[in-house]
Amino acid sequence: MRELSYREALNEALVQAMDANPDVILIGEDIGSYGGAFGVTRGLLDRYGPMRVIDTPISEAGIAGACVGAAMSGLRPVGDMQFSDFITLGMEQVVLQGARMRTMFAGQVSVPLVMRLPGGAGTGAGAQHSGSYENWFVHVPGLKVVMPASAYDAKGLLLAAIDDDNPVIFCEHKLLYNARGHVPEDAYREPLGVTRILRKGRDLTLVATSLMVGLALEAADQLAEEGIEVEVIDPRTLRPLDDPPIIESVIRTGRLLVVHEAVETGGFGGEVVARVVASEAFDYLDAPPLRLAGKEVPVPQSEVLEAAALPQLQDIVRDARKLVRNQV
Amino acid sequence: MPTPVWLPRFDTAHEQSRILRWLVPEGDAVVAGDPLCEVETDKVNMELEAPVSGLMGPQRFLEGALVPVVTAIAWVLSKEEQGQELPDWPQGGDLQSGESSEPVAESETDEMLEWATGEAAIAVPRVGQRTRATPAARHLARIQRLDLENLRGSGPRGRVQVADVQQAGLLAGGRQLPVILELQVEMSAIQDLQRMWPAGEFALNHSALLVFACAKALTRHPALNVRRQDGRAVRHDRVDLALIVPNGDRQLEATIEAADRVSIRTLLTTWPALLQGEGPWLRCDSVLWRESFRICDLGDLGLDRVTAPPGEAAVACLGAGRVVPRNLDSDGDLPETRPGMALTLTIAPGSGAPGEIQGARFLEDLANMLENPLKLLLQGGQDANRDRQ
Repeated sequence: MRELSYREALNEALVQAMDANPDVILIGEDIGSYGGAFGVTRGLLDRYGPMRVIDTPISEAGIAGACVGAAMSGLRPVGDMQFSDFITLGMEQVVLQGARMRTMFAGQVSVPLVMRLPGGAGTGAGAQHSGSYENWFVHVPGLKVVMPASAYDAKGLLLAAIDDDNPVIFCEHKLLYNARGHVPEDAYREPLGVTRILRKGRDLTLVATSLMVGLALEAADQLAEEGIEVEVIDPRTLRPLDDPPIIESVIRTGRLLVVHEAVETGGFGGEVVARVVASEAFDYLDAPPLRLAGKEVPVPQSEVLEAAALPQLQDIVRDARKLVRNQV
Repeated sequence: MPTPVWLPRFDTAHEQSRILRWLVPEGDAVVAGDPLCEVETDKVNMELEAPVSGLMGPQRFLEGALVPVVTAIAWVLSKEEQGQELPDWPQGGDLQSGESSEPVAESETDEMLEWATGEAAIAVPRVGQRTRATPAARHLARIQRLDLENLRGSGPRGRVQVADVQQAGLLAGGRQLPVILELQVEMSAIQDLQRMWPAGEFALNHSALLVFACAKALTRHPALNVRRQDGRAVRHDRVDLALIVPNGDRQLEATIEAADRVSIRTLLTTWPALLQGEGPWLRCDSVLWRESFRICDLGDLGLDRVTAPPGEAAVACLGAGRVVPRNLDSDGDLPETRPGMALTLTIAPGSGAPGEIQGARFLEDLANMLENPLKLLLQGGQDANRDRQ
């Protein structure tokens, strides 16, 4: 089986999309000769030229606006925000324009853009380069939000996102770029809006996103040694959320833990918990559903504090254990 | 004097700990300082050590138990003390200073403090307050018809968990499906008696005998003679029998009120009228019908065995099939073919119902009476003076 890194998988998805469709273009800072801040677009300028791999000045609002306009004009742009944090500058273009156009013009236009957000902490890059903003977009009707946790999903979901006729916010994680995994060579698509159960278990439903998926699987391994069987679920697409597999899982396990790196308040975990509690799974809950999330602080620069602010493997193990032992 | 092993208070906010694991079985030798028991205080697991050398004595709590702090949890005995009677468990006030274990590290203390301030003691105030229970526990209790108010919760602050309901369900016989017990009764003695029975005033009808014997058996097995109320079994103070018996093309569905006070003579003489729905003790009362032990005697329809559900508020129903030659157990010899009747006892699901053992003993007792009809008749004769007629 061929293995690629998450970075290489994304690169291959872009190549396959651009080979198959001349309408696919890339817009972003340092994506040309530099190959992207994290190397995802390496080699693409040489391959497709400056008309399709468009290096921009430091102008995130411009990138976002150009993507929306290009998409409305019939292209399929893939924007690169370099750091997810900078999407704050492009919010008006993505949210007020990109997400609204289809309905405001009664379906006469569509906005098939993908906005890649390299996000997440763990690199000591400080409060302005480490954020997780996925839930800002989960709150916006008209957007789709995708968050791959593996090299396989990175490629399959990016190809599906480029195919999609709606704006898709594509949340990558900086610490995952070197994560390796099986990636087939063909241009497979992983459909958006399909939750995946990664590990079956009877004692606890553990929903995790992005970098936390790997930690959740590790925690499940550790807990299995204590006889605690954890079901690990990766929604992969946060909007639209395919929640029936989560609800069915909680009906089986009676316990729910949601783990993500973004802060807890107003975070995605609240949405998952709310859907479960308001569903038929309510009658099967044998403990309060828990969220484990980033601390309510801007991500600190100090590595020690940064680690303390983010959910760690032992935190997942601890909370899972407490839930299963009825200590919550 | 045996030496107690204490669960100490680790810090001011520490109220209780869970016994995770006994590390030394009772009777094993221990040296002072040996870890005896692992206890848990949320994030911190600690080992309690042997205060002196000796033998591990009786352990007061099972693994998993939540124990308040400053409680003696085990004894350490000297060789001479083994097998001797032990004093009462000492109270918390008996703990002398200095017996507390090592102080815990500060960061652990903080964590424990944080945890402990959020948790009250296990005792649950129930007065004027809804019982704490998880949604799943409530759901299961509803299905099993168990009353949550009567359950003790093992979760935080006494919250009732699914495991508590399951446990209570087992104790209360709160099964989810009915149980069906069957016994073959040998009817040759009744048939012999019927052959010798003089023609005249009344016939020796085996269905009437069954009703009589059943009323008698129920007085001896009151667990089957109950009605369900709010998920609990309430014993009847008399035996009412809801009866389903065919009579030609019709079937009688009525309740014999206080069947335990009707003599066998009265029952036999009035049986034909009873089948027509006549009799001073016969009631067509829906409450009685729902709450009474039921007999579904369909042998006259030629059915081999009858399995019928109990009344909605009752817990058991007896089904009787026809009397036909059957292979009956003859105490280890080759099976012989003798006239027999299949008695089937259906025990309802849900709480308040009797267990299988109670059901089996009832059936056995009933079969015994039917297999010794002469004794039954003689006893029935003695009961005549209690006959309300």
